[in-house]
Amino acid sequence: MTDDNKNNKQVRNKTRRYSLTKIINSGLFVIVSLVIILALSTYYRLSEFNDTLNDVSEKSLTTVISSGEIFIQVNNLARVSERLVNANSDPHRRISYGQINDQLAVLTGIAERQKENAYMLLQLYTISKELSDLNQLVIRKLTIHDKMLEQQTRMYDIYEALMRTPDDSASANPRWKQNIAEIVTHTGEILIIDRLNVVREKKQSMTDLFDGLKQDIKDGNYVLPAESSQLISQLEHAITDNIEGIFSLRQEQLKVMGRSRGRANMVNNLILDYARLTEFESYQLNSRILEDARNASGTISAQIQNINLVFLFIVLVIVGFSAFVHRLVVARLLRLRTQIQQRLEGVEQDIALFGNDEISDLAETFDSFAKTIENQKQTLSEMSLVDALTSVANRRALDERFEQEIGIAIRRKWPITVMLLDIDFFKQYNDNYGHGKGDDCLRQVAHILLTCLPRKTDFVARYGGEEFAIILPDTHVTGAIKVAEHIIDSMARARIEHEYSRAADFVTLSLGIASTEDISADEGELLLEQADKALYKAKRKGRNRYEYFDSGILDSPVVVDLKPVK
Amino acid sequence: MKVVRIVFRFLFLSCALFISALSHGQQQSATLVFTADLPVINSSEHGDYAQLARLIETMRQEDPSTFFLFGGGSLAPSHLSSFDRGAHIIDILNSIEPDAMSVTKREFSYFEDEFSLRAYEAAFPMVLSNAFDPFTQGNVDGANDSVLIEKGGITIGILSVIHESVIEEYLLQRLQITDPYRAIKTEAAKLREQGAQLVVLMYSSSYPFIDSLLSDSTINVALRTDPHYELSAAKESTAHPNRILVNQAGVAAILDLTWPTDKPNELSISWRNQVLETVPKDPVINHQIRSYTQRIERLLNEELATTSQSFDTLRPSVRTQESAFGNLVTDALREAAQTDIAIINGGAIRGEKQYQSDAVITRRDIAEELPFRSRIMVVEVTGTQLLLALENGLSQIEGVKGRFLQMSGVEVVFDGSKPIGSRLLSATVAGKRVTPDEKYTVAMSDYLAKGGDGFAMFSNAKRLGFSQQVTPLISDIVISYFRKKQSLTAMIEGRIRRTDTPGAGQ
Repeated sequence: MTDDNKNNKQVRNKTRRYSLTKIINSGLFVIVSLVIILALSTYYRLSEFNDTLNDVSEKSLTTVISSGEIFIQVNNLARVSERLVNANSDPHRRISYGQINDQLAVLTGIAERQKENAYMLLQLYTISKELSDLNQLVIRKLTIHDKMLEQQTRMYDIYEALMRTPDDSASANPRWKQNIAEIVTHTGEILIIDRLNVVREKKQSMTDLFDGLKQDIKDGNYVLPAESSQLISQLEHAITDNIEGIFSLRQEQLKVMGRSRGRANMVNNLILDYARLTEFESYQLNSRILEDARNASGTISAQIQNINLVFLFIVLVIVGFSAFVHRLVVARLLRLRTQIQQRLEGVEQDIALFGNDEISDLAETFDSFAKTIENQKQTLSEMSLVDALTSVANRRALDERFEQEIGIAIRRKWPITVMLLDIDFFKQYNDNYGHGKGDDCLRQVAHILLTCLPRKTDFVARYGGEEFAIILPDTHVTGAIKVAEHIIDSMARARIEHEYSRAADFVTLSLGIASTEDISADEGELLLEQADKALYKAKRKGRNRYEYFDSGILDSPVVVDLKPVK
Repeated sequence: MKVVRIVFRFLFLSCALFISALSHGQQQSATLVFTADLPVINSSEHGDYAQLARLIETMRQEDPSTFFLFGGGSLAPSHLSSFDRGAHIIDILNSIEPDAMSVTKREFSYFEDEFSLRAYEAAFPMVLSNAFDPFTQGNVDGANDSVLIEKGGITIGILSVIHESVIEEYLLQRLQITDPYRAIKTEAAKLREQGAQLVVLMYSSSYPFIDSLLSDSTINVALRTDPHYELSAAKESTAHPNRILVNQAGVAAILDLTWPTDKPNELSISWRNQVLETVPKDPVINHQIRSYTQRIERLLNEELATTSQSFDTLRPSVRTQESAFGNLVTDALREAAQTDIAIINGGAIRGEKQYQSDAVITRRDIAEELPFRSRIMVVEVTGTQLLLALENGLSQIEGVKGRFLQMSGVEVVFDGSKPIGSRLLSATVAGKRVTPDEKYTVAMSDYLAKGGDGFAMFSNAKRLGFSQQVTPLISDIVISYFRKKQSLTAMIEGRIRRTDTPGAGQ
């Protein structure tokens, strides 16, 4: 037992010590931390995703919507601008320009909503300035057109007046009228000539014609009334004047038309630029946001995968931890309980558990407790004077009492008798009725013996096995024989069934008596030997009887009187 | 002061000529003022239309027989033209009143119909002698085959021829270019018949037959401007004295012509260059110019980014070698379109400016650098097509032509001394050599994608489109890219490497 303990200790000292408290605490800490990390990172990713979604819904969608709106408005603007350039009457121009301003107001409204892009507002400002200039050009074109019509009417009026001029003489050449007619015809054509250089060339030739005419008049080739000359110079003014003349007006008109064409091109390109840039900006914004969304959803799915992995890991950790707790704590505690119970029931087994921790410590403690208790029990029983089974004195008590009684007998000089009693065929009893019955039989016999000893000083003890001893102080052989007979009678009366006895059909005793009148201190052992010899004699003589010791005891013939065994 | 001197000199000259004409009784004279290539109305470097106007006015006052012949090349490129397609140039020219204008390639920057509109808006004739438009079954609408101008008793016939490369360079669909030699012969004969005392030819590309036409008196004067003549490989070696080349920008040639009556063959010319910048500005025209330039001023002033390095966009920089600005533009395209490669032809970059480090780039700079409103196009090409395109980009490097490619996502090594078509030594995309069967996505301008500048290999390549929604202008993308970057690192990174020494073999 102690060797085993030492071995166990050595084994335990070799294995590293793992503190369950630490392990369980760390386990719980790890699990809680993992759960917290999982929760926090999920929260963080979700809020990131939320931001991206907000971006998509607030920025991307709104720019897509407003870029669509801008596209429509800008197309309208381009259309009405074209109408403005081609306007051939003032109401036409006014209506077109009104529509332009409406479109511009709508576009400015949209642009102001998108505050981040100041450049767009600047573009719109430029467009509206260009359109206002274009409107001015169109106004100028229309004004020139009106002036031209006015001058043309004037020209035809003067022409008619000149044609009405009576030819003053027969010799007079009406060629000047032909010249005038030619000039007026050419001038009339000018409205359908749209080449500036042609107009300029024609104007030059008109000027030359007028110069020629004036020269002829000056030279006196034609004689004209004064008012006709005046009309001719009025006509010249209406046709060739550098500012108000029809040709100059036509030149100016064509220039203004070219300029307004250029400005219309410019406005158109500015408008297209605006639409395209708006679209491009929104395209870029969208691609950026979509990219963000793609990234976010990528990280989210990666995150979900991570969460799943972490979750699986946590589950595994919890399962592992539970298994660990079960195997290392619960199972061991159960085993500890079983071991303790078994130990209590007297099974000789160490209380010992594998490992080196608090539970193994507990097992060790229990084990040492049990061992202490058992040792104490042992000591206690060793120290006892009563036979545990039969409740009569034990051999040790007998030895003490015998020594005591010998002392008293010496002092008082009185006789002392020792009686040894053996249950006949007790082995057969035990074999056939069992140890329990055997024990009962022993207890009954002890009881009978006690009842057969009326004196307080008489002493009965279990001598060992099925043997009892009785000390009868101050008793001679004759007294002892009376006691012996009484015992045999009592046994017979008790009739404890013993089918397997060859002495009787009940339990019987054989008794050996040794008595002395004068005992010395060292003769106790001898007296017991003599009683034993007498007992032996009684056994030999057939049992269920007594014999007393005398010096010739061993020489006397043995008579066996035995009942046959059933 | 200088002008006063000029005026005096001319008064003296005119008097002298007049006196000599009187003494011989047969001498005739005229003055020609010729200039061209003024696409920017208020160029601070090259002089502007206000100065030109003042010069013309002075000359006309001196000599009634002053002919102002405008050589064209001005309707584009400029940022204003990119908005109004050159209408403002015509408007300003209308105030100066040229006697005739030559039609050059640039006049077709916005295609035939837009040119016709400009021609109709012009108060002066536009001359183009060798074009045929199937739509009109004659000359392109608005252009004259030739014109006859009479001033102060002198009648001059004007011819103008255009080079056939206009079709390829400006992606014209309708216009056909007829043989210039025959056109000149035919039209000159007609002009003589109509009484032209002198026939003047304006042209804008090198032709081998000009001197012989002058020698056989088919024409009497040949006028050409080429501000980039010095860069050009095809220099005209022997020059007829009547062949006038203005090889600087912002210069007007003033020609004094004298010849015995009825003997235009004996024409003698004395001519000089007048630098426009030194001429005072005409206030009326200046006002007109300012009313144009101020219009989109605020839009163009928007600041986009700052450069950390100095760089330039001069012709040799963008048309013969890797350019820092070309790198920025193509990087922007490649980023926006998410393609393997981005390319742009050097001819698309037009600013011809120097940028100092820490220069602030504005919208105006981008509008001036990328004045053509070309849009982004994404195509898928095979390695074979890509290699062909790269070769094409290198094919006219001696002429400093616009087809030289600036690129992003591809690195090339070339030898300019090798024959055309085998100059490309290696091309790598993402560190791997271009293989003929591999497919590459390329972002480029619609101009290149339609096969402009000889990039015919792209015209049948697979179109991918920039996005479903929009096709922004190249300049939109560059502006957006610059705006986002704020600070630009414009660097030459070795994307295009040349193994021979430029100009060695010439």
